[in-house]
Amino acid sequence: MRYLVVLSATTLLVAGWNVWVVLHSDGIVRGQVLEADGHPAEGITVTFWEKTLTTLERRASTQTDRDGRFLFVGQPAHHFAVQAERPDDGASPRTLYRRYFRSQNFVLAEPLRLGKGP
Amino acid sequence: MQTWSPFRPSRFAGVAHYEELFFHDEVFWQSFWNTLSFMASAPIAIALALVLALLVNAHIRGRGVYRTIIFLSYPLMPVAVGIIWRWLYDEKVGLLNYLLLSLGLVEQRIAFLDSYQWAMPSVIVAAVWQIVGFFMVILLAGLQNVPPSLLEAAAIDGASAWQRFRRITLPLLRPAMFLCLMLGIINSFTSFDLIYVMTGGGPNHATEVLITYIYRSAFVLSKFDYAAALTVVLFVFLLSLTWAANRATGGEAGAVDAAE
Amino acid sequence: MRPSNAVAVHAALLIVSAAMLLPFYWVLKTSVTGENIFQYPPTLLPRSIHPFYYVDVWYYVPFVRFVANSVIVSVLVVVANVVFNALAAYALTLAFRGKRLVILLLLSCMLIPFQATIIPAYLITKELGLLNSHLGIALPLCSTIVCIFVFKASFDAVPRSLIDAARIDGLAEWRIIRHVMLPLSMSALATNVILAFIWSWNSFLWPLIIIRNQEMQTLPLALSTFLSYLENTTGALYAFCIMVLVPGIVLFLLEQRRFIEGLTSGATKG
Repeated sequence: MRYLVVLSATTLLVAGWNVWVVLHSDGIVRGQVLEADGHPAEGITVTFWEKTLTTLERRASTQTDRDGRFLFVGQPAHHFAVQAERPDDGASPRTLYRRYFRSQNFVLAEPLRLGKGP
Repeated sequence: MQTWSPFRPSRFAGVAHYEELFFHDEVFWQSFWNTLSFMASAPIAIALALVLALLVNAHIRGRGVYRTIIFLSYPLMPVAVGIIWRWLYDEKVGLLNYLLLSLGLVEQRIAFLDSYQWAMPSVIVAAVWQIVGFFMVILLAGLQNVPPSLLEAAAIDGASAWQRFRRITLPLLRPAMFLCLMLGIINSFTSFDLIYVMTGGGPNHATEVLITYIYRSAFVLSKFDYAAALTVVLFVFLLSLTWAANRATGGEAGAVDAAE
Repeated sequence: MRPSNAVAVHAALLIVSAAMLLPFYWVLKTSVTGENIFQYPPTLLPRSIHPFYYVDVWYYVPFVRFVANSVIVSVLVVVANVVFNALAAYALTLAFRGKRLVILLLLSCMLIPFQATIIPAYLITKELGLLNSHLGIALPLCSTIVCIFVFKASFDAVPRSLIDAARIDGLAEWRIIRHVMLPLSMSALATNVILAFIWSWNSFLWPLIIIRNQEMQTLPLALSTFLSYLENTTGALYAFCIMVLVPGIVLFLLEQRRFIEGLTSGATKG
């Protein structure tokens, strides 16, 4: 009967989705920071901002390593922004990203580029 | 009849509230008038539904699909419907304004829900959109009760389609149409959700109907006694309309057989 | 018998169907793309589809809590509806003095819309201390006269010989209802369940009056609160609309015929 079909399909979908979410949620956000001319930037501070309905709130920050890569662990926001700043110098644009569920493992598609100027 | 509020003990106040209601309250008359205009849209909705029912009743393929699509709007939550229509009517980005402008029907965008004269018709259009499916289904059930042998006999006798419709179908549809009229009247008295979400009473009470005024008096302004008087007026009005409609169509109609 | 102008009929019906479906399509498109919230002119086809507004609704508002509230209230209403209305309808199939008067009374109660009784209902609920609780929301919706008559029409169709045989076998009255009447009236039962569920799921005015804090809100109330906080500045509002409409639409599509028959049962009589 159609109820059986609808209910079992819904349950299967929900169960499958939850299993996948559990397996993929470590809250990892990783990416890379590049200088304006393309070289990897080392030792840059990258901040993680969480977007609520009305504001952006700063949550964590970390430093890039030799290859300009950075890693955040355990940040459960589904709507967030990362920004790289060099003190007294250029900063990358603060772009917003979205995830499908909280703590989804996320890799930035484009590296953050530091701009020139104050 | 009593002066009462959650904060004071009650005293008998006679007809003071009714006096205030009828003679000193502008908003009451505004809401009364708005309720009446809401009610006046019921025959329009019924006529539309009749046309739709006739179309769907024709023996074409896929009429079940059409029936489903047209009826789909009725079981939805009026709150969600109100939000959707509110946005369709939006002055800056609403679809309706865009259609009107691009079809060249108007010169500049109309603020449907914010203007005094367009607010109530806009709400009525949304209400008609939601209820026309329901009316259509009722009229469809009535249409299917018309015995085809009668229509065929009339066709053999040389009656045209219009004559067949006017003389046979229409009189046989009277109970169904009466039911639709009653439901439309009751709907216009009780349609709180849609109006509250779309305009909240309208720019300066332009879309305030009796039920929203009762809600506002009782639960926002805490004037329970005044709201009670308003409720009595609403009920008496509804009852007299029902009674008059019942008399006008000749006695017992609709509902369930009471004789047992 | 195909009418000669089938094409014209189809054309007219297609136009009407498009008009009826346009609001749905529009809100669906905006909930998955977010265009047309701020930009103008509006585009007909979606450009970039993303489900992120649904993620927003899931996390930004306590959506699960709201759904749970609505479901609990609806279940309460449906169960109470079936129990009370079946009992009432069964009583109306028996013969007793003053039965005609009682039926007339019930019919005249049908004329009083629920909205006319919100003030006394509020006061009674307050006295009972049920403000802001699931039971308080469910209580006034617990019985509808239309449902009583749906059951009654179905119970009347049960042959008396069956009932008499059950009585001779020594069944108590309520057992007769459970084992004889209800199994034969499954269709009326299903109709009542669906009607009661849809009415309580969509009910807005009563929760608006009774509920005082955000946690106990039911879905329609939550939607309207969301609207009053954010107006239409975010596509999440429309995603919320879709999420709220989907159960109603799914239920309707599954049980179309029953739903329509239950609502039009008044049109074919009288």
